[in-house]
Amino acid sequence: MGFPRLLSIFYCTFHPTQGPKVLYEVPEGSILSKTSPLVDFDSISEYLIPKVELCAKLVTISTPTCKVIGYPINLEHKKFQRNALMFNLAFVFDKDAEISSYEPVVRKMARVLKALEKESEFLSRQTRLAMTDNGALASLNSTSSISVPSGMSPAAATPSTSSSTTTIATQQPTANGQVLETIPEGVSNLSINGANKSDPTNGQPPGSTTTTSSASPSISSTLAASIDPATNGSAAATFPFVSQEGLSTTGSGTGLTPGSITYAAIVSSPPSMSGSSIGSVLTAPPSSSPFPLSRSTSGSGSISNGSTVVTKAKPQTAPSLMDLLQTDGSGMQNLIEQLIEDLNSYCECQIPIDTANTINLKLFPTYPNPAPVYDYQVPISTVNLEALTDVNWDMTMQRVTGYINGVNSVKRIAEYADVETGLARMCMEHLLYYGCIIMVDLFQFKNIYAVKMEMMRLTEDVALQYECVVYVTLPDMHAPSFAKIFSLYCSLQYGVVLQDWIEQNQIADYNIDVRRFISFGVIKGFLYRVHKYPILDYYDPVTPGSVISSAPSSAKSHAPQPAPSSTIVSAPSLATAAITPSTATATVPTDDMSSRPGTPSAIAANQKKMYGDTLVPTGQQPYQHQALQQHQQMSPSDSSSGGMIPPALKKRLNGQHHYDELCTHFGCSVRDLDKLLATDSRIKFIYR
Amino acid sequence: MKKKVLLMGKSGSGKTSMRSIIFSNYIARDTRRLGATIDVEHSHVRFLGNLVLNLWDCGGQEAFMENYFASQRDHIFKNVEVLIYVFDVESRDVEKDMHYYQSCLEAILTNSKDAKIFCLIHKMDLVQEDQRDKIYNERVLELQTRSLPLQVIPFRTSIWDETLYKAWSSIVYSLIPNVQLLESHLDNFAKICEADEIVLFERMTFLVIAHSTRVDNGDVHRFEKISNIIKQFKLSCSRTQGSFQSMEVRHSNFAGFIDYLTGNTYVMVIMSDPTIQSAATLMNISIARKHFEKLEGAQFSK
Repeated sequence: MGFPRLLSIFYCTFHPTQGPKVLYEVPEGSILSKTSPLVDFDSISEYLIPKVELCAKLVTISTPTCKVIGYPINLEHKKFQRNALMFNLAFVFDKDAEISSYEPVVRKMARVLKALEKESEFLSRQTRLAMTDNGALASLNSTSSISVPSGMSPAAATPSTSSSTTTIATQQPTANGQVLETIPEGVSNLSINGANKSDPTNGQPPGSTTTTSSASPSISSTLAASIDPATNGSAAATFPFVSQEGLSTTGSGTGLTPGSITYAAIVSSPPSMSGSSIGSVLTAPPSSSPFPLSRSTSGSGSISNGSTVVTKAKPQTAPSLMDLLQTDGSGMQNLIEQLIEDLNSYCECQIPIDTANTINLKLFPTYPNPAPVYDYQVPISTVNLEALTDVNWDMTMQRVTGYINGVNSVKRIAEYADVETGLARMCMEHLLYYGCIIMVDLFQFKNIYAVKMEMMRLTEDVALQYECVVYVTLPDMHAPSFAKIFSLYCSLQYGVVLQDWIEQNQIADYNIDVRRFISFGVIKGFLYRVHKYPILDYYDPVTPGSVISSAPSSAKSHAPQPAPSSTIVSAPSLATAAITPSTATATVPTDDMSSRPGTPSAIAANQKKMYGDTLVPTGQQPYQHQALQQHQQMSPSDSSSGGMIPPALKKRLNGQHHYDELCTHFGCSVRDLDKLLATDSRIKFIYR
Repeated sequence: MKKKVLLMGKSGSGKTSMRSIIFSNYIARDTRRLGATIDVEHSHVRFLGNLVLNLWDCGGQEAFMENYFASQRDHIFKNVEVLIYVFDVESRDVEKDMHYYQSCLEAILTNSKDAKIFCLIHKMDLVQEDQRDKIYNERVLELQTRSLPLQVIPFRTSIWDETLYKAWSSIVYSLIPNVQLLESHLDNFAKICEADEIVLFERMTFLVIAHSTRVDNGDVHRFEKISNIIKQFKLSCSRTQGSFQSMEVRHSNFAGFIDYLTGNTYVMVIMSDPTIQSAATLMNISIARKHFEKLEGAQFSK
C-alpha cells in the first residue's frame, strides 16, 4: 500500500526513581527482551525521554537497525511526584522506511494521550498499575513513609491486615481536606469477600508496613504539616503516589484477578468525568477537586466509599477502553495492540475511548506541496471528480468542483460557485495536491503558444500520437493524420497569435478542436503559453523636454528650456486647483514627474515616441501634458475612459504581471487592456 | 580557571534544590516547583571573577546512575575537583544508597583520585530535633568507614536553615586558590581597623569565603547564619525592585558594617569599640577596596 510497516509501538515514561523506562510494548519483547530487542532502549532513551527543550517536538532516532519516531511530552503539574509527567509513545520502523506519512499520526497520538491524562489521568493510573505489576512498588515512593495517615495508629499496621495503610474512608471527606483524619483506625483493606488478601502483589513482606510505622514520628510530623494548610509542608509535594502504597483490593467483579493491585478501583473515579461510562465502574464520590486522593492539603479528599467501590453504580454498556483501564490496567496495552494491528492492516484505525470519545487515525500519503494557485489559472480535471464527490465532502469543495470544466478560470469558478476566491484557490490547491486536477492557462484566441523540446517525444511515442489524434479531432469527424497534426504543432511559434495562426493554416479544414489541440499540448508538456507582460518604462520619455527629474530645481537644470520645467512644475498646481481633484488625479501627475529620472542619454536612447521626433517645440509639450491632465481631471480614476491608467494597474506594470493575471484581476478583456495600455507610449511588452 | 564539581546522589535527594538556592537565588519554598533532572545538567557559575565552577548536577534515577558508572564513566569522573554526594537522611533503602555511593568512590579513585569529597546528609529538618545529632553521627561514622581509604568531609544540611550555607561555604572555600593569602590580608585589615571580626562573602551567593577573627564571638554557626540572613534579605530587596547595596547595624555592644569590597565580594566588619565612629570604619573599607581588588586580580593570574 505504500505505507511503511510498523515494527513495534512502545510507551515509555520517566519513572521518579528508576528514570526512563519502557512500560508497554507491542509486540512483546520487541524492546524489553534481553536477548534480541529491535532497538536498545538505554542507548536512545535520552532522545525518547529527553531534556525539556526537546519535548513537544517530533523526534526521530535512526539506529543501525531501525528508525524510532516519537513525540515526547512533558506535562507539568504539582500532582506528580516530580512536578511533571514525561512520556513518549514511540513508533518503530525499519531503518530505511519512509515514515513521513506517520508523522501526523505520532503527533496526534501524543496529543490524545496528553488530553486523556489531563481529563482522566489515564496515563498516571496506567503507569501506577504497570509499575506495581513490575514489582516496583517500593521504589515508586521515594518518601514512602508518608503513606500512613496520621489518623492511623501504628498498631493498625499489623501483618494480618497488612493493608492498614489504606486510605479508604467510610465517610465523605471534609471540605478542607482533612480527609485522612476521618479514616477510622484499623480499617482494613476492602475486599468483596471479606478476605484480607491485600498484600501488595509485589510480594512486599508485611513487615514492610511496620517499617513504615516505625518512621511514624517523622511521618506524623510531616503529615501534620501537610494537613495543616497553613504550613508550607515540604511533604506536600511528595504526597502524590504515596498514599497508594499498600492499597489494593481484590476482585471487584469486573474481571479483576484476586490479589491484583487495582489502584484505580480504590482511587475515586476520575473526577471530571460527568457520569459517562468512564465512571461506571466506580462510584463517583462527590469530589470537587480534579485529582484523586493522593493530593496535598487543599481539599482533595476524593476517597471513595469503600463498600460501593466494588459494586457498579450504573449498568454498563459495552466495556470501553476506559472501563478496561480502570479495572485491570490493560487499557494502554490494549490501545497499542489495537493501534499496531489496525495501522499495519488497514492504514487506519478507530479506537473508542468511551461513549463520547474515539481516537481516529488514518494514514495519508505525503506528497510535496502543490504549486501556488492563481486566480487566472484554469483547472482541468484528470479524474472523474463527479464520481468521487459525495455528500461528506467539504461544502465549498462540492460547490466548486461542479464548475471545473477546463475552461473556467479559478476566479470565474469562484464567481459561479459563489464562494470566496481565496477558498476557491484553496480547494484547487487541495485537488492539485492529490493529483485530481492540473492547471493550464486561460484559453483565448489572442494567446500565443510555442513549442518545447519535449515535442520530440511525440515523434517516438506511438501511443501518445494515437491519443493525440483521438483527443484533438472534432467529434464524429474524420481525423486528420498525425503527421498533419504534428506539423501544425510545429507551426506554432512566437509572435503568432492563435487567431492569426488559424487563418494562416486553414485550421478549419482539418476538423480539429483548437482548444483541445492546444490543451493537449500544454498538458502533455510540449507546448507552452507565451505570456505578455506589460512594463512601464519610466526611462522612455514622451519628449526629451519631459524628461525632468522630480525636484523642480533639478528639473530646471536639465531642461533645455526653462519654460517646460515651469509648466511642469505648475502642473501639480493645476491639478490641485482642479475642481474635483480625486486623489488619483492629484497623484498621477506628481507620480509622473517624481518618477522620471531624466538624463539626456535616456532621452537619446528611448526614442519610441508617441509624438514623433526627439525634439519637440516647447510649446507642444506643455500642451500635451495639460491635455493629459485635463483628461485626468475630467474622468478621475475611470479606467474605462481609455485616457488614463489607474494606479492599481500602474503599479502592476513592472513586467511581473502578465495579461492573464491583469485581465482576471481587473475583470476586463484583452482588448480593453490593450486599448488602455496603448494610451501610454512608455509601456512596452515583453513576451515570454 | 575552571573547576569541575560533581553533584551526585540518589533521585530526589535535593541536589537540584540546593543548587538552585545557592546559585540561582531560589528561596527554599520555590524549590518545590522543580522538576526531575534528566541526565546531567551543566551550569557554569562565575565565582570571584576568574573562578568558574563547572557544576555537574547529575540526575539520580537508577537508569542514569547505571549509565554514569558504565558508558559515561570517564566522561563524568575525569578531572573532578570536588565530588559532592548528597544523602537523603530519610531514605528507606540505605543499602542501595551505599552501593551507588561506593561505585562513585571507585570511579573517583580511578579517574580523579585527588578530588575532595564532601558528603551532605540532607533533609535533616525531617528528623526530630532531639534525634538529629544521634542520627547524623551514626551516618557519618558509617560513611567514613565505607569511604576508606578516601577521606570525606561530612556536613548535615537542610534547605530550611543555615546549615546549607555552612556546607557550601566550605566546599567553595576548598576551591579558591590561595585563600590563605586572602586571609592573611584580612587579618592585616582587621588589625588596622581594630575590628573584632572581618568576614568576606562572595557577592552573588553570599557564601563565606574567608574570615579573620580577633575576638571570638562564641557562636560557631554565626557565619552561615549571617550568610542565610543577608541572602534572604538581598532576595527580598530584589523582589521589591531594589538592590541591596550595604548595611550598617548599630547596637550598644557592637557595630556591624556590610558593604561591597570588590566587584565579586562583600565584606562584613564587626567593631565593638564604641568610640570608633562609623565614618572611620567606612573610610577604612573604601581605602581597602583598591588593595583587595588588586589582590583578587593577582590571585587568579596563575
